[in-house]
Amino acid sequence: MRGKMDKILQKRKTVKEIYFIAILALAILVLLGAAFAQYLCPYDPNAQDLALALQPPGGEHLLGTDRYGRDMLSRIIVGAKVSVFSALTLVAAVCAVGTALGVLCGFCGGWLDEAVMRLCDMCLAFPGLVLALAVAALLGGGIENAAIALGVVSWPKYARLARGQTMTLKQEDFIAAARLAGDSAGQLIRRHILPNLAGPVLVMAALDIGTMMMELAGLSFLGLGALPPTAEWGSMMSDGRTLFQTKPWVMLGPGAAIFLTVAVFNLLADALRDRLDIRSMGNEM
Amino acid sequence: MEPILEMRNLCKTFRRRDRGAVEAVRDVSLQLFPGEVLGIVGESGSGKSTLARMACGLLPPSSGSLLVEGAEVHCARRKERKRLYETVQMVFQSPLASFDPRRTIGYTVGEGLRNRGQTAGEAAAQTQALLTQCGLPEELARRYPRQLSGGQCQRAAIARALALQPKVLICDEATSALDVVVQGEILELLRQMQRTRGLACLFICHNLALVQSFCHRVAVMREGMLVEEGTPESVILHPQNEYTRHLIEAVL
Repeated sequence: MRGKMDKILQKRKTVKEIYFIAILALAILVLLGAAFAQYLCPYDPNAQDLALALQPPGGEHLLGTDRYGRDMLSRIIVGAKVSVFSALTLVAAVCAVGTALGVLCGFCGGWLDEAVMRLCDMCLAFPGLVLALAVAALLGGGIENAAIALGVVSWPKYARLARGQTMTLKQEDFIAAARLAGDSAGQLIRRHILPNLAGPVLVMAALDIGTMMMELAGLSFLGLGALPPTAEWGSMMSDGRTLFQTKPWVMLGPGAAIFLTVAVFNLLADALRDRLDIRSMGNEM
Repeated sequence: MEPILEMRNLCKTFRRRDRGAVEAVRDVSLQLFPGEVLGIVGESGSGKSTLARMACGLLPPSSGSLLVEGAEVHCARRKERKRLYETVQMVFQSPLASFDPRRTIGYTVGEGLRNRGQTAGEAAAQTQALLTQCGLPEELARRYPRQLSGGQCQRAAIARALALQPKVLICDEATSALDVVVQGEILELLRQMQRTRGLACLFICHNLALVQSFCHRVAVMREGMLVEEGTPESVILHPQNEYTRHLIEAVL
């Protein structure tokens, strides 16, 4: 009886393991695809050929062409570079800054905590879109400036999470015990606090990759992000907007690319959550 | 004989934003002599745990002083705190909560040794020895806290506390979270360690029968104050203070 239960549990674990590896492989594939985009696309993504404008999918151009006769598939592949990597860099930067500040606040408390938290409130009070408009007006358009605007409004989320987690962890007996073992504040944070809050923070970051991609695409759609002729999914959708009724593939191609990539990163976040859960720590006999 | 740990008029007041100040410990003076087991009893919220945390330097006292081997310790200074940790260590109530869930038992038990400047290899060897002394198989060092039973975990906690070779061990309800059989085993281990190492022990507990059999001296706390102190026989069998009498009646 016991053996049977164990076997079922074991099987369930293996299935979960395979699922996690598959999702991770998919995410890595997306990243690799984005990294080597220029070698993967069948045509020059910026080569115009007005004679071939707005070809439907199939035939020589697998996903059709846009109004300038550029190959959609090639543009989508190259667009991944801008869309995925800007989202990734943005999330990494925001996550690092937010977590560092949050841990510091949660650990030290006092005036530092107050000051940083009020700054958080201030940043959260800005509507992202309006800030992006302001930044674009001040610094000009471009995906970097759109990323700066998004970064300013999204770091407080990480700071809040990390601060809350740190404050809870600080009360734990194992932190007191580590203190008794002679750990300094820096050692406590590095050895015990950061590893224990890495789970929730990483899950949030993985979820955020998708969100950021969508927001960046949104800003580009509004003309605040990537500038033409740079291939970027958001601005490509924007290009196809007026043609949607008659030539839907110009908009659907990049739309599907955003949808699928966001889905992969969201699934990754979900799988990470299961895997990084403390409850799973004791089960690897 | 000179006390190894002495508390002089220790007070601790917590200031809370909403509820004003809470006096958790008021003017407690206690002496703990080498090799002695001093029990502290009292109901929940009587300040026992706060006292324990002050005694090992986890909480700075609001006023009063703490003397270790006759010398005053200023908990605010880092160097002094380190000296305190080498003398006074603590075993916590919940065995599982006192281990970092993301670190192996071996890592946690050896942490203090590595902090002291031992190499990873030396610390690992000594960790193995400590685990064996505490009645645990060596391979447990590679396991995570969740993979251990409560009793095993508490044995590992004792091993960790003993790693820095303290002279005083504070047990803050170290057996309360365990079932009766395991409780007996842990007590036996504590007694053995206390005898072989000549440890002084501050044994915080609310099981009076246990205190009676385990401690040389008993102190009773109520609302942060010490109300009675003496041998287990005198305090438990012939209590002078009305609160102590009340506490004993509650058990019987």
